[in-house]
Amino acid sequence: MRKFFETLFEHRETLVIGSYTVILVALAVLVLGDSLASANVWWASYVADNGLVPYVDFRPGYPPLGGGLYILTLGYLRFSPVVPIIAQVAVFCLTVYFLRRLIGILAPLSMGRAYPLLLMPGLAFGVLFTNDVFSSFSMVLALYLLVRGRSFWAGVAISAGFFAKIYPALLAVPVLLLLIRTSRKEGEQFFGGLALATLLMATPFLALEPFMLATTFLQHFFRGPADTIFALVENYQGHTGFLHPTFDATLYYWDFRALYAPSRLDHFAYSWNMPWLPYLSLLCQGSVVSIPFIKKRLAGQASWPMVAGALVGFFAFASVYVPQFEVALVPLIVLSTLTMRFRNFLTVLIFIDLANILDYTVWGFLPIPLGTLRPAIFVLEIGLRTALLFGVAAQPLLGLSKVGEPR
Amino acid sequence: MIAKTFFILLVVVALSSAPVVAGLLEFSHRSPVIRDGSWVARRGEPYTVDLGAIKLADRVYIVLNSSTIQVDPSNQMKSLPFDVEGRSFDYSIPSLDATRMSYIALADSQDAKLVLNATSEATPYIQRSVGVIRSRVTQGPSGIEFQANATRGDNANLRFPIVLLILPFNDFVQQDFQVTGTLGLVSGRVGSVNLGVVDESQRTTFGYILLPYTAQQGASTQFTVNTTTPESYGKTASVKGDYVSYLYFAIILDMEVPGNPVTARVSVGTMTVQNRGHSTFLPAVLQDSFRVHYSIYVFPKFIPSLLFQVSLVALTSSLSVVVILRLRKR
Repeated sequence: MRKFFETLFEHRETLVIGSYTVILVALAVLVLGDSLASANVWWASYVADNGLVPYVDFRPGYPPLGGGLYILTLGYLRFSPVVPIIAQVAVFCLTVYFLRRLIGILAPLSMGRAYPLLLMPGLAFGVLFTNDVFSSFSMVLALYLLVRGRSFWAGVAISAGFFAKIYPALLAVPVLLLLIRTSRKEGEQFFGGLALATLLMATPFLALEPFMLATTFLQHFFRGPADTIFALVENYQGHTGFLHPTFDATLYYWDFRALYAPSRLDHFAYSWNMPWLPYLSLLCQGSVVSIPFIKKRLAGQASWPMVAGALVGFFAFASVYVPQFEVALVPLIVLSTLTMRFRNFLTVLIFIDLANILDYTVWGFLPIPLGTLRPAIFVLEIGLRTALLFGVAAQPLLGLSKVGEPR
Repeated sequence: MIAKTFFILLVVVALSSAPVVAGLLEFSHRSPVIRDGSWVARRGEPYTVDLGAIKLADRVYIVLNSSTIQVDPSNQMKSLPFDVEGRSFDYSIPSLDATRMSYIALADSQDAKLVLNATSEATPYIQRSVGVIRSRVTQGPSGIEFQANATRGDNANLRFPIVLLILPFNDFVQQDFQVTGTLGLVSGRVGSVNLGVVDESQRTTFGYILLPYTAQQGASTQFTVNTTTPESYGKTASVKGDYVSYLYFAIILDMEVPGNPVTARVSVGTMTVQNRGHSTFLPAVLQDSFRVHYSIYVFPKFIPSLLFQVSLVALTSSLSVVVILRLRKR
């Protein structure tokens, strides 16, 4: 009996993560039942049912690794919608696994800080219903590989994240800036991995239809504000604007813009009240991402939490936010707050998750009626989340905490 | 040796770049063809729009300001089904006040055309439906009569199929906002007949029940809805000051009432919409002929040549080898 418990203890990590996967997927299937089928399936089915070739005839909302796999499995192969959900949870568990190992190198006493991620309901919602786990995984894996001195493979991981959900590419900027200052060789290895993987993954799609592949990325760069302080300043209280007919995705982005005049109601052809506002957002983001570069003490392990903090700052200054970004943000928050008191760290995670749950509720993804409280909750959740992100980013960026210092 | 390899790769990059750049530039010179126009539509009198020459895979997109026109493309075009994120209907889409259709050219053609047919007489409303409903519009003694039939077989998972009669509004609601008119249930049963106000500022729809589910055959109502009218579904906020994109009358069928198909015939009398000191009067008469505006877009589509594809693969392969050699050199 004792041996049995010893074996259990020995494999506790596998047990925790395995139980999490089973419980989360079972909950999703039991609670959501038929409505599960609508998640992620409609565009995959539309492409397959109409004989369209993704990235040639049709622009999914995500690049090939984040969208093409869904079209292949759900659209053409007709897998059950539970399959991608299991895959998403499994990838998330891998993220937690690598995050734990990464923290183990940076701050061995704080290794357990990866586990609270398994207990965040808002985060679990994002894991179940969006493909942001691929971004989260690629960023955590890239940082882990960088810490282990495998810069080339870190570049490959970021490139894969870019081809899944675009925004992991943001990590490349502070990492490159950092590596250029510290080790030119590592910098070249990193850039080489990034460039090589990007070339290899992009080539088939570029050869088939370069303009449609470009459209997949371009459409996101002209989005209006949503759920951020910039959205509040702009007085835009929408989420992602009105929905479009699915066949609009068979057009290039510039053709789409010819069809729809820019409007305050259309998030994908948005007309800004204050046209300078997105540039201000971009300027703030550029500045915060550059901080690791201008800081003098860069070498060593202290630099990686700073990179994570720079990305958290990037999200804090973004003009667009969607609640599922939490899946990618929380691991970065964990890395930025390694020296924060554990109690304070947990408080940050609880309130970040609360802000995201409120965000899901405001947009009707969770069936909680808000009535006339909606505008107040909308402002509250944006304020709460933004304040937390600023606070978290400031920890490593302004030198409020350094890895290795006693807590 | 490495210098020689780099030189060879440089030559491959230079040579393969030319067809790639040429292919991209050539396509960038093809611009969309846009045809705007209008015609007086009459039932049984098709109208043909010549699109001229189109190429394989070009996208043909048509926007009409009417919901009673059927579009028949020439046989070199494949039509794409209309849906909005998996649903056949969405209250917030820009297609509420316009019919949008999209086609893909299946071959090069010198004489592609679209034939436009009026399927019924015109009403002042844009008609849409949620669920599968067979509807008919006729002129009745007290207004335009909308007959809706829905079968349980067609609407297996839908309890409330709806016929929507939509009016674009696109303005901020002022203090004097008011909708007045008459409605009647000529025959059949309804779940209810509502006035909907699509409030984009609050991202919600305000609903006002005009004829309740208890309405019997022959029932009629003369109604007035303004900014102080209580909302029928418990909303306490006001539409005043908000941006409203559409107003609509919703004829809601209830699939749990006896009979299959479930039918209802609703008469819509004259309506007046007032806002910002301006009144819009909507007559209760069908029009045999009506002017329809159309915009047709032919968007060119890039079809890469074999030379383009081979050159592109050569280009990216060479660049990849350059990266690998550079890394190995370190």
